[in-house]
Amino acid sequence: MEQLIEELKKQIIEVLNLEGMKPEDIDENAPLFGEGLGLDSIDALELIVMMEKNYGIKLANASEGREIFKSVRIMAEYIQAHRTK
Amino acid sequence: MMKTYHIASYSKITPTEFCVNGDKMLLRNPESQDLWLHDIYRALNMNYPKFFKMDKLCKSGILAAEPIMQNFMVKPDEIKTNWAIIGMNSVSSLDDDTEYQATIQNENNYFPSPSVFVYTLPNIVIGELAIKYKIQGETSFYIEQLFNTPSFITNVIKTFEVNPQIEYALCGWIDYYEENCDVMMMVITTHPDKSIIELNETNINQIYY
Repeated sequence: MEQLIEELKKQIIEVLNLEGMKPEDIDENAPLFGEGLGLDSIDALELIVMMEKNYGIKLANASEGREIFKSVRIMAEYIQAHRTK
Repeated sequence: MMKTYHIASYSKITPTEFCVNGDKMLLRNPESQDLWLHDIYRALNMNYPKFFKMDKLCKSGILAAEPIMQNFMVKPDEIKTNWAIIGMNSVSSLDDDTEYQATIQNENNYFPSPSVFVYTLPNIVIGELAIKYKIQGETSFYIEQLFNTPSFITNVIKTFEVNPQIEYALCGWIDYYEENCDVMMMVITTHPDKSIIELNETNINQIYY
């Protein structure tokens, strides 16, 4: 799980162009949206594409992201339970 | 009384130089590992994390606008309703269109990028400028075959004439395609006391060419 969390942090920085941010700057328990990293709705869509591309997880409903993207840790737990690649 | 139009400040970004009011602010370092636009961002000491999420057209517009808007940002939170933003270019958003196309080209690797898609319109740069500088006046974006001085001046003056409340315009030619940056921006005003040079064909030609 910890390895997946680290991997996710690196991917989030790359995919969302979080310039100047390092994986250790991201608190895996902090909210990704609103406060925390302050991501927006386009970032959420980009994370959905990233989950499908890298882990074979296709969200049937974009609103599911609200729960999954609560934090990096919750996201990692969801990926571990549902990944197909 | 007939209005007169004046250039209050101007900037230019080419693939090798970044100039403000005719002064060379930064020369491209051929050994730099980063994007030329990112080198300019750092040279300007900007702190605008959203910049890194933008496409290159928007990055170009923001960087060219930043130094020439400084004198007009004394009250940074003030909404500017007497300002217009006028953009022009020749390549539209082709740089982003091409990048987006690549994400949907292969049906076995079909992952359309939302963050690229949102920039597949050239006038998005106008929106980014409006957000950054809190401008809520007139906005327009023109696509032309090539930069044309008379047309540039006509497009700008037309905006002032359409809305008599407009006293300032952040305007420019903002072109970016395949790492080729061709950007000229200026603040044009009806206030002679803000003028560094007059708005006329000779001066625009001198700045652009």
